[in-house]
Amino acid sequence: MDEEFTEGVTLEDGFVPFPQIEVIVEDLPLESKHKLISRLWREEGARVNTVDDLPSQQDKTRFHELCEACRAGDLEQVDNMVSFGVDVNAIDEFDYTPLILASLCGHEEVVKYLLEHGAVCDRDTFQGERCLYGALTDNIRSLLLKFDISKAVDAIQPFAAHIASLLTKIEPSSSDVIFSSTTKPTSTISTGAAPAEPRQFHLHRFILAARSTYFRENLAGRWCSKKLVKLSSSMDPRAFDIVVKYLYSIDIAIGSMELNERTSQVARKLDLPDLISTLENLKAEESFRRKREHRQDDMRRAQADFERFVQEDVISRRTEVSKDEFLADKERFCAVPVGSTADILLSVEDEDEDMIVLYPTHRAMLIRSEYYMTMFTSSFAEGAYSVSNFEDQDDGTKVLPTVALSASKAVAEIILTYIYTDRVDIPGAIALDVLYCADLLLIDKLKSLASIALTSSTVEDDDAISDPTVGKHATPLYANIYDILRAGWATRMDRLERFAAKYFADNLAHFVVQDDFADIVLESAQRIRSRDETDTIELIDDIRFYLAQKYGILFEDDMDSVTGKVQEGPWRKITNYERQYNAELDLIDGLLERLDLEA
Amino acid sequence: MMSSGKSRVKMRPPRNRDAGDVNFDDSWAVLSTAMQEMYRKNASRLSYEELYRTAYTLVLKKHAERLYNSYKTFVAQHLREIVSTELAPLASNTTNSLLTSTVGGGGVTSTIAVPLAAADKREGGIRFLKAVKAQWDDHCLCMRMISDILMYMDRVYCKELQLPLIYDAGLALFRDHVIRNNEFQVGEHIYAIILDQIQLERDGDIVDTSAIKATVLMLESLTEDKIDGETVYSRSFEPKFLRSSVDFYTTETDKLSRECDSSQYLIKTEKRLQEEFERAMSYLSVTSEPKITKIVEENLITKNIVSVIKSDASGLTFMISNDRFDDLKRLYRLCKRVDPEKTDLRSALVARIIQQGGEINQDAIEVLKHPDKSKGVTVQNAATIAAFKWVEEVLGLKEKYDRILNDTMDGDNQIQTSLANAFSSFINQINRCSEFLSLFIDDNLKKGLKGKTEDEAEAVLDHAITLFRYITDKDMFETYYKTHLAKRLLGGRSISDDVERMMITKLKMEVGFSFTTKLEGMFKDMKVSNDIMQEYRAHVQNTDPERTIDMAVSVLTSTNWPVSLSTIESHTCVYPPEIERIKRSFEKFYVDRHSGRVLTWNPNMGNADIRVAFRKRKHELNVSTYAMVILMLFNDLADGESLTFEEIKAATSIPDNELIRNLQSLAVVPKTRILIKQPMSKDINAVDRFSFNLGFESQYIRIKIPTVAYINKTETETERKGTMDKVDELRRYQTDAAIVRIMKARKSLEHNILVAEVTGQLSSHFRPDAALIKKRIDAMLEREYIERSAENRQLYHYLA
Repeated sequence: MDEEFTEGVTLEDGFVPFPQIEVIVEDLPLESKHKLISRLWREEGARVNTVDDLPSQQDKTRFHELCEACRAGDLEQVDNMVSFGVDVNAIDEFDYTPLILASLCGHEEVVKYLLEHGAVCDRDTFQGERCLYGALTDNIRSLLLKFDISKAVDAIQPFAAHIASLLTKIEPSSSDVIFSSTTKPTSTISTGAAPAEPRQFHLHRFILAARSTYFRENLAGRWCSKKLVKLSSSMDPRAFDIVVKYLYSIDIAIGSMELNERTSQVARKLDLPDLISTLENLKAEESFRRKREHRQDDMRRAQADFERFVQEDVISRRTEVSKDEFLADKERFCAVPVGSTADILLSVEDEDEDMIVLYPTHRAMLIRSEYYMTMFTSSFAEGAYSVSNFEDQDDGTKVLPTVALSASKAVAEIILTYIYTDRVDIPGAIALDVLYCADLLLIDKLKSLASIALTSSTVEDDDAISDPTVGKHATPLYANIYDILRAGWATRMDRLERFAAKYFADNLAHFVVQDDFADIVLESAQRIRSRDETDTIELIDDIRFYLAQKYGILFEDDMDSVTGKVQEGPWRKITNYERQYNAELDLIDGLLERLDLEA
Repeated sequence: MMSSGKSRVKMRPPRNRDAGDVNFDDSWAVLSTAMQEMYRKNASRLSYEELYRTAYTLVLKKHAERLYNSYKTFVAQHLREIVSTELAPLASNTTNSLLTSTVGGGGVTSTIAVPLAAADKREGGIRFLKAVKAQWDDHCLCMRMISDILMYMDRVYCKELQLPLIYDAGLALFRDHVIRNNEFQVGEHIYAIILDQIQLERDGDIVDTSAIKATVLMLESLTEDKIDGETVYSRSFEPKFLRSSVDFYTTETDKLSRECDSSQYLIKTEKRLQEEFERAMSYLSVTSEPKITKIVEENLITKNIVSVIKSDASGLTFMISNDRFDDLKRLYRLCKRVDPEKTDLRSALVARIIQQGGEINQDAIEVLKHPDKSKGVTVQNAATIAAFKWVEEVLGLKEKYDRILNDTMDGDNQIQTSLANAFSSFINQINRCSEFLSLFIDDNLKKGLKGKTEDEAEAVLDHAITLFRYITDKDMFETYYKTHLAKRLLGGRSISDDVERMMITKLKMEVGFSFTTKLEGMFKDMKVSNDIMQEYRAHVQNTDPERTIDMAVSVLTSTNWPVSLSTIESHTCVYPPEIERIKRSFEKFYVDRHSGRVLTWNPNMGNADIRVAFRKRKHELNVSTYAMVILMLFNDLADGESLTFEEIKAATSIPDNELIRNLQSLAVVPKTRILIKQPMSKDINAVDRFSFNLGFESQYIRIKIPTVAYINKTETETERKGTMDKVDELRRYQTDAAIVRIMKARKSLEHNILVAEVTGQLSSHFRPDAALIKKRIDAMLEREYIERSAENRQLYHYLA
C-alpha cells in the first residue's frame, strides 16, 4: 500500500510541487468484514458464528440450504437442515441469519420453528434488531418479542439426559467401577460446613475414559482390573461430585467460593481445561441466554469427546474375522484386553463379504435403542448379562458376551456412531439400509436422519444412482423410487411417501406408462383395507396435490369438484400451465381406468 | 460426523428386501415353541434377538395379521387347558354347587351334589382363589415376555390399526377363556366364594382377606372391551355383591328393630356401617364403598329411623329426658348421613319442645287460675309467682336444648333454627308471655338482683333478653315494661340505676333506638327532677325558711311515661290548705323557669310521711298522697267524731276506686288500722263510718302503710282490654307510618309486595296480620296518601 503513495509525482512544468512529507502508515492486516466482526464480538464475550466459522464444508452447504429454505418458506427443508445440527444462529456473507430471512420474507411458521429450535432474537444485537425491524407482519413481530427462550427445545437435550441418567440408573445396572472417597477425622473445610461423609460413586469406565485423558490413561493402566478405586484423602468428595456431574453432562450449579476453588484444582489435576472455564463462567451472573449458550457449548464438547471415543475405541478396535474361523473358536475372538472399557460385543454379520465383525461396545449406550433396552432388561438369555459375570482370564483378557446384528459393516458403524454421539452423516447410498435397520432397532431419530439423507437434494453426483429410465431433467436418486416409497410404507415415514409422490408428480408422463408404477398404485389402493367404491387412494391424492403445486394451481375454486381439473369458463381464460395440469390429470385418470379403480 | 472424510462407501445396489417370502409356518413354529417355554418358566434359555427378528421378519413380510391371530389362538388354547387341568379339580371342593365329574372307570359323567362342612368349604374356597391368582400372575408374566418379543408388531401393526396391544389382548384372553370360561364357570365360582367369605365375616368370623384382595385386584385389571371404564369387577361381580348385600341388610334391619331398643339399634347400625366401610376399603374395590354404604344407610337408617326416634321407651324423648348424650350424638350422626336436612330429627325435636313448652304454659296458667294458698300463693302475688315460674322453666328448657345442640349435634345450624322456631311458637302461644317477662325483670330489678355481682346480674338479664328475642309482639312487652319501670322509678324501688341502664342498653341492641327512647326519657326525667328539686330547696331556703313541710316533686314529661298514669280521672283531689300552698309555690317556681309548660299533678303516684300522735306514742307513717289527704281531714275532728265515706269523698274529691283502696289500707288491713271502720267489714260501702284510732299501737316508730295498688297485680280483665286497645291503636299508627314510608320510597308497588315489605319493617315490633294491613291500606287510600293505578287494580301509586 505504501508503495503507491510514495511513488514519485510527476510534475508538469510550472507547478510547484508540494513539500514532500514522509508519512508512515501502519501496516494493517487486511481482514474480511466478517472476521472483524467475529473478533470484536468474541472479545466482548458474545458468540457469533459466521459462515466461515462452520466446521466443515458440508455444514456450510447445509447452512446455505437452510437460508434458502428460510427465504422460500419451506418448513420441511428447514426442519431437515436443523435436524442435521446446523447452527441456526450463524450469519451468512450478507449478515443475514436464518431468522432474519424468515422474518423478512414473512414466513411465520418458519419463524416459529426457528425460535423453538434455539434461534435467538436479542434486541441488544445487530441481528436481533434487524429481525424485529424487518418483520413483515405484526404477527411475526409479536412472536419475536414474546417468545420465551426457555421454551426453546434443545435438540441435544435427550442425549445429555441419557448420559446423565446413567449415574442413577438401576436397571440395567451398567456401572463397572466404584470410586470411593474417605473421610478425614479433621476436616480441612474452614467455615461451618458439615464434614464430608464417605461416599461411593458408581461410575462407568468408558464415560470417564471418553471425557478425560487422565482417566483414560489410568483406567487402562493402574486401575485396569480394579473394581474399587480409593480416592486420596485430600480429595473433597463434593468437589469430585461436581467433576463427575460435569463429565456426565449434568448441569452444575454454583457452589461456594471455596468449593469452586477446590473443584478447579481437581479439574486441573484431571486435565479438564473446559471444566475450569465453565466454573469461571459460573461465577459471573449471566443472562439466561448466555447460560444456555454455555451449556450448549459444554454439551457440544461432550459430543465431540464421544465422537472421538466411538471412532478410536469402538470402531477402530473392531475385529474382523471370517465366518468359519469365528465359529471354530468363538471364545478367542470374543476376548478383549482386561483394560478395555467394553462390556459387550456387537457382532455384525456382513453377508456380502462373508465376514463377522466384532465391535467392543457398551450396554449403557446400546440401550439408547429401545430394542436393546428391552433385551437387556428382559428375562431372556440376553438379560442375564451383567458385569460381574466376566472373569478375567489368565492371559489378561476377558471374554465378553455378544449380541448379533444383521447388517453390513458400514451400516453398523453408522448406527454405532449415532448411538454414541446423537448425530451422524449418512451417505445416501446406504441410507435405505440404515433406515430399515433403525426401524428394527426402534431408533426413531435415526430413521428421520436416514430419510432425510435419502431424499436430500444435495446429492453428490457420483454416489447417486440414476434410474436410467428417468428423463434427464429428473434429479438423481440414491435408490430406486419404488423402493423408497415401499420403505416409507414399511417404516411409516411420511417424509418418504411425500417425497415419492412429489417425484412422481414431477415426472408423471414418464412414470405413468411403467408397469411398476401401476403395481405400486394397486398396492397403495390395497393399503386401506375396507374400501368403499368412492374411497381415495393415498398415493394418487398426494400426486395430485404435488401436481397442483408444480403448476401453481392455488385456488380450489378454479378446480372442478368432480374431476379436479381447472375449468374453462367464459369469465376467464385458461392458461398454458393449467392446460398442462389438466393433461397430467388425464394421464392419471387413464391409468386408473386401466386398473379398474375409482379414486 | 464421520471424520474419516470422504471415505467412499462401496457402491452396490441396495439390498433387495423382497427376496423371497418367508415361510410363515416355520417362523410361527419357532415362536410358539418359545412361548411354550415361557409358560414353563424357561425363558432364560431363549434368545431375545432371535425371537424378535423372527417376529420382525414376519411383520415386514406383511404377515402381521396372521401372526396376531395365531398368537391369540395359541394363548386361548393354553388358557383353556389350564382351566381344565389345574382349576376345575379345585373348584369341586368349594361350594355345594353341582359339578360335572366322571365317575369310575366307565367314563360315565354324572352330576353329583357334594355337600361339605363349613370349614372345608371355607378352606377350599380360599385355595381356589389362590390357585386362580397364581395362574393369573404367571399369565401376566408371560404376556409381558411375549410382548417384548412381539414389540415390533405392537409398534407397527397394532398401533396402525388401533388394535389392542399384545399385553392388553392377553389380558382380554384371560378374561374370556378363564374367568368367562363356558364349561367351568370359573368366574361364577370366584364370585360365589367371595360372597361366601363376606357372609362369614358379616356373621362374625374371621376370614383370609389377602386372597380375596388379590382376586379383586385381578378382576379390576380386566377391563371390558366395548364399555369404557368398566371392568369384570364392576360388571360381573359388583352387582352380585350389592344384591346379596341388599338381601342381607333387609333381614338385618328387621332383626335389629325387633331385638334392640333405640340405643342399641343405633350402636349396631354404626358398627355395621363401619364394618362395611372397612371391608370395601381394605379388600374390595374402593369404588364399591359408596354403593354399599348407601345400601346400609337406606336399610338400617332411612327405613327405620322414624320408629327409632318415636319409640316411647327409648326414643328421642327418652334420650332427652335422661340426658343420653352419646345416644343423641349417634342419632344425629346417622340422621345426617342419609338426610342432610335431618327433617325427621328436626320435626321430632320441635314436636317435643312444643309439647314441653305447652306443659310449662299450662302450669303457669294453673297457678294463675287456682292460686294454692298452702304454698303461699295469693291472688296478688300469683302473677309474680307464675311469671317467675314460667320464665325460669322456659330458660331451663332452653338451656337443656342448647346443651343438646352444642354437645351432641355440633351446633348444627338447621337444627338451631328449628329449635328457635319451636321455642318461638310455644312462647308466643301463651298470650301473657310479654307480661310475664316484664314481671320477671321487674321483680329482679326490685329485689332479685340485690347483692349480686355485676356479672351475675348481667347473666340474669341476658337470659331475659334471650326470651325477649322469641316474643313476637314486642310492642306489648314495651308497654308492660314501661309501666313497670315507671312504678319502679317513681317509687324508688329500683336497686341500682346502673343495672337499669344495662337493661335498657341490651334492649336497644336487640331492637334498636325507637324502642328505648321513651325509656331513656323516663330516666332523664328523673334526673332532671332531682336537679330541680335541689334548686327548689335552695330557693325555699331563701324565700321561706320557716316552712315545716318538706316536699319533693318529680316532674315527668307526659309523652315518655305510660299512658295509664295520666288519665284525667286520677287528677282530682282537694288538698289541705298547707299542702295547697306549697303546691302553688312550686308551680310558680317551675313556671318561672320553663315558661310555656303546663303542670298536671298526679296524686296517685305520690307518698307522704306524717308524724302522728297516738295515745301511746308518736309514730311516723308513710302513706300514699291520697291517704295523707284523708288523714288530714281527721286532724280537724274532735275525738269520737267520725266521717262517712260520702263525707270523705265530698271533702277530698278523690275518685272512688282510689278512695276505696286507700280506706282499705288505712282501716281494713289488720296491722295498720289507723282508722276504725264501722261496720268492721272488708269492703267499703257508702254508709260506712270512719274514725281516728287513737289507740293504735305498733312496735315500730316508723310504719309504712302500703296501698294495695302498689303491688303489681295482674290487670283485671278491663284493664287488660284497655292495654290491648292502646296497643292496637299504637299498632295502627305504626302500620300507617310504615305504609307511607315504603310508598314514598318506591313510588309504586304491587299489593303483595307492599304487604310483604310492611310486615318486614314491623317485624321487630310485632307481627301484623294481613287483615290489619289491608284495612290500613284502605284507610290510606281514603286519606289520599296513595291511590290505585287505573290499569292495574293491584298496583298502588304514591301521592305526594
